[in-house]
Amino acid sequence: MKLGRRHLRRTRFARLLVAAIACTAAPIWGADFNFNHLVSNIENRYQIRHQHIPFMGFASFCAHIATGGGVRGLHIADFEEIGSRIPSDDFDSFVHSQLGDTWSVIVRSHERATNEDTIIYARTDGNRFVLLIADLENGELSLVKVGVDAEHLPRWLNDHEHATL
Amino acid sequence: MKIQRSAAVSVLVLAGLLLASHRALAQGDFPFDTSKLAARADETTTVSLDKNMLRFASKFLNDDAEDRQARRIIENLDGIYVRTFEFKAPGSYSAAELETFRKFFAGSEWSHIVSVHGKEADGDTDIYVRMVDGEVRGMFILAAEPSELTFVHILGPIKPEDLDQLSGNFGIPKRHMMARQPRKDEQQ
Repeated sequence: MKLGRRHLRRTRFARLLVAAIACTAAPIWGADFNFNHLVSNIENRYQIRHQHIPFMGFASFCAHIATGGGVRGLHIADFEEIGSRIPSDDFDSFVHSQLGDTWSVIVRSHERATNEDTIIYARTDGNRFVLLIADLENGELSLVKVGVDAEHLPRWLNDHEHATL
Repeated sequence: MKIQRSAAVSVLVLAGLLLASHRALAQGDFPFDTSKLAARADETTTVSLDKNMLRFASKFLNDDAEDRQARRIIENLDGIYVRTFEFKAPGSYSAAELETFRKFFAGSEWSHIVSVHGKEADGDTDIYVRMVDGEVRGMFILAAEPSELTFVHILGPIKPEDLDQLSGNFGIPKRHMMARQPRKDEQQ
């Protein structure tokens, strides 16, 4: 009986521990997973491969520190020499379908001379702005994801403005 | 190289959304079709900020009096939609084309409140407001320069004087709040 209660307590504790880890880890892994998942789906759809960028995690950490917590979750995926150009309309609708309705296109730009398309998707996440920037050009594609904090970044910008005045 | 460009784009966007909002842009929600212009333009940029985005962008404003005013305006808006078309050479669009766009606002719930027709190099600016039950519920700005066309559609309650606060931000051109100069067709 005593053993049973202890076992029950341990099981409950284990469940709580797992739940707690899941709760705290979900936003971190969720953010990473989404971007990686998107990159992977783009690779599969267009039969292309992105290039590994060393120290990306460190760069993201530096951006976070340097902006006083204003910028976080910096992710970059770079695809070079991808052959024929990916049609921007197809790419846009594919990315949008992957991102879902919570994301909206806030900026769309096309430059005829360079045949370059830039699409910026955004969504709000609590007190954060999450931006996904896609830059599409002949044979090249860049994806950048970054989270911008509504509280920290303006304060940081202010501090730096005052410091430079 | 690409990363640098992407980073530059990121900085531009952040600059637009944050630094611009430090003082205080979709295919939908635009009153007419601009696809023909887009097909001829050398550079096309569209900015679409819906209510949700605007509310959030307002959080990036400061607490000074000027920004508080801008925040009040932005928080009540339903959307800001901007389209800019840049052409390599002047004369890439015709006066008749512009007139077609202007006609959209004739005889409807829109009122033409500002019309500035400057010298060729200065370009033209037209501002229309949408009146519903005696209140302004939207605004449309048409800024035409020899090699650039900008259309701004603002949805929601906004007064002409509020433009001063938004001018230069969210893709809205800086110079459009000018003294009222009625168009010839209005004077008749």
